[in-house]
Amino acid sequence: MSIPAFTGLNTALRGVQAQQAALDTIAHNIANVETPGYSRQEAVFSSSPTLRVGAGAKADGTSAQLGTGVEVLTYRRLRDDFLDLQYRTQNMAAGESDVEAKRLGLIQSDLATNSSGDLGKLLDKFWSSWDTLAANPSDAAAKAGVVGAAQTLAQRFNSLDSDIASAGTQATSDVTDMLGAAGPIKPIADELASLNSQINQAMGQGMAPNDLLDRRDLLLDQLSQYGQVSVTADPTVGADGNPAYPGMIQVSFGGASTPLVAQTTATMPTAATLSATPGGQLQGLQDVATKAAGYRTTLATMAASLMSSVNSLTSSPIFSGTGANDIAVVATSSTVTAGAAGAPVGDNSVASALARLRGGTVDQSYAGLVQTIGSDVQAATNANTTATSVLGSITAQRQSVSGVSMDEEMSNMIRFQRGYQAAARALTTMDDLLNQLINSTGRVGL
Amino acid sequence: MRITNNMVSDRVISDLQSQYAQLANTQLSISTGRRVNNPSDDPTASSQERMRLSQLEGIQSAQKSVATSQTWLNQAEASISGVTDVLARAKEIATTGANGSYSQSDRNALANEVDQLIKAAKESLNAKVGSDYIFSGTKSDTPPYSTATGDAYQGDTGAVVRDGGAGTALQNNPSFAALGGTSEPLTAQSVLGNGSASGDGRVLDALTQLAAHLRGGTTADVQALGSSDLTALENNRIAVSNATSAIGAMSNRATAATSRLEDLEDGAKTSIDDLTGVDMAQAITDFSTQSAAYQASLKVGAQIIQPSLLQFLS
Repeated sequence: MSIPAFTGLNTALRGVQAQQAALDTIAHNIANVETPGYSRQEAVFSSSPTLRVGAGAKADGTSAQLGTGVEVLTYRRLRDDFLDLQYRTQNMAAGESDVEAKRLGLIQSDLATNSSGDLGKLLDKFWSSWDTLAANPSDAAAKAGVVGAAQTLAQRFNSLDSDIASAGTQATSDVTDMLGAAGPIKPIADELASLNSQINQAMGQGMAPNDLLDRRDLLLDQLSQYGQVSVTADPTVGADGNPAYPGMIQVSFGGASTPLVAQTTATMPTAATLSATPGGQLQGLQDVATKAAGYRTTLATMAASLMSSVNSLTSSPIFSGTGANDIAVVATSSTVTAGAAGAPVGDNSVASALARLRGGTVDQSYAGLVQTIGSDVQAATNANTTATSVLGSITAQRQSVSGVSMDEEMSNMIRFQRGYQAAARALTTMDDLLNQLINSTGRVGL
Repeated sequence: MRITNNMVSDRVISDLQSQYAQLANTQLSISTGRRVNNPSDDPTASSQERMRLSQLEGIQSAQKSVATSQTWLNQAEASISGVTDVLARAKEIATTGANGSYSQSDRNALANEVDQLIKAAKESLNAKVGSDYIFSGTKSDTPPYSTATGDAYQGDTGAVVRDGGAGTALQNNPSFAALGGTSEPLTAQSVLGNGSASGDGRVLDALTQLAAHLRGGTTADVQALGSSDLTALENNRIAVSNATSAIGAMSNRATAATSRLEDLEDGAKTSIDDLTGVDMAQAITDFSTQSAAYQASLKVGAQIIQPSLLQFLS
């Protein structure tokens, strides 16, 4: 029937405290406006449990519930899990295509028309040297020209092959480095394992470790550029049928059967335990290695075809070797002849036949190689552009949900500041009332 | 949709980036004059361009070859005209020598001149282009005649065939109807023959006969000067004139080849330009448009990032 005298004081106090908590959260948001991976938080208010006032509280004699103010239910982290998954998928695609576009682009720049190493141009020069010899079959300078052009061509075959080979080897060794102790994945895995323990502890005590969760999501985002990431809650079930380790996650990476992070253990995969399509930069590197090997095969076939078609026409061989890596010139200007063996010096039948090889199989297969590498780089670049642009739009959507808006925080700050002021005023008023009650009651006529 | 500060600045930056990238691309196209600067810009065009470039190089190479042939033919024409002169003079000498009022010593003097004419004819056809003897067939490192071997022809009868471009061939020693009616490549042998010993009736043989008849002094010799010698010289003149026409005809073919190769070169260059060249007017228009858009973005970006509610709260 009666309401305790200090109830109002407590109600007002709760108001002041809640507004203060909201203001603290706003300050936290504003402070973290530029923190990578930060999700904005908000203090969720709820009215506090009511005070039941006994029978006779109301005119009809029934009891009532009296509000006792507000309390902070939880500090909510605003985030959309669906967007996180989308982000990681695209980040993986972007990582893969970026590596491919950059590394294949380097190989391609060796083939660009007008570049100094344009093998096609050197082939042209080689055929032209035979043309010159055919027009001047007895000319020693023309023979030296043939040898010179052949040497330049053979050396370029060698260096192009070794350039492509080293791009492939580099990619393969980068995969190992990336998975190694000094690579970028190890520290992420270790931190994820340690976050698992911290988050589990906090959640066990009923806390929402918002900032730790942000950190974990950021690490998973970073991890996704290197390979396929899939995240599940820790599957261990306790005796009570509930998860034994609430808050812990199990992270699978690159299709490896052993999880990268399970509970508080990080297990690094190796190149052998990764799946054939690990995704991300790892897959990009693997693709580069595979493609480089393919380009080398084409180049080797081309060199072999050059050697056999040229040597079969000449009386003494021009080239020796088996492929692009070991093609060399054995002819000297004294062994080069424009005509068949024993023919008069004016005979140019061999030189003419060789000059007619221009535009044949060898040139065509080089043009084919240019097209293949060009298409590969173009496909990787296009994939990268697409992934980057989708990534941009997902980032924007994530920012839309989780990002801190200064204007919003400012206007909220004013709201809660006013709320605080009003609650404080209510407190003062209560104080006045009590003052009146305690100091003035019963002192009549003084 | 809720718009936050970072969204706006991210968007402004990524838009500026992509516009700047476009500008850089357009600038590269304009400065190189090429639409395709890397195979990945247009793989098919790059690959086709490679084959066209190869074709172009072949055409340019054939042009050099045709120019060399042209030089050979010009030199051959000049040398053959020397032989024509020799024959003309020999005919005068034969006619003069046939005159019964000439004394034997006069005829001996004429015979000495014929000896010189023989030398002159051989020297004319010992002509070289570069290091090649052009009247030795394919044995171009050997002079057709040398003093050591007398009148015997030292070369061969091979045809000297050179590339005329686009699958055609030019013969630097064109075949002509030589004395005796056979078609032979133009060599010293097919014009001058192997001298008196061979009895082939060609220039050297005819001139040697002429000299012998001049020196002979018998009535039969003097008669021969006006009849058989004159006929032999005339027949040789006709053969040499055949050779001259053959050279002229081949020279015309070389000229035709040159102009055809020029057309082909133009065609190849045009097709390369079509494949990978940049349309300047279009590129420069694009550049202006992109530049204006970029500047507008900069201005708008600068203005949208600055304000915040913060500035208006007291």
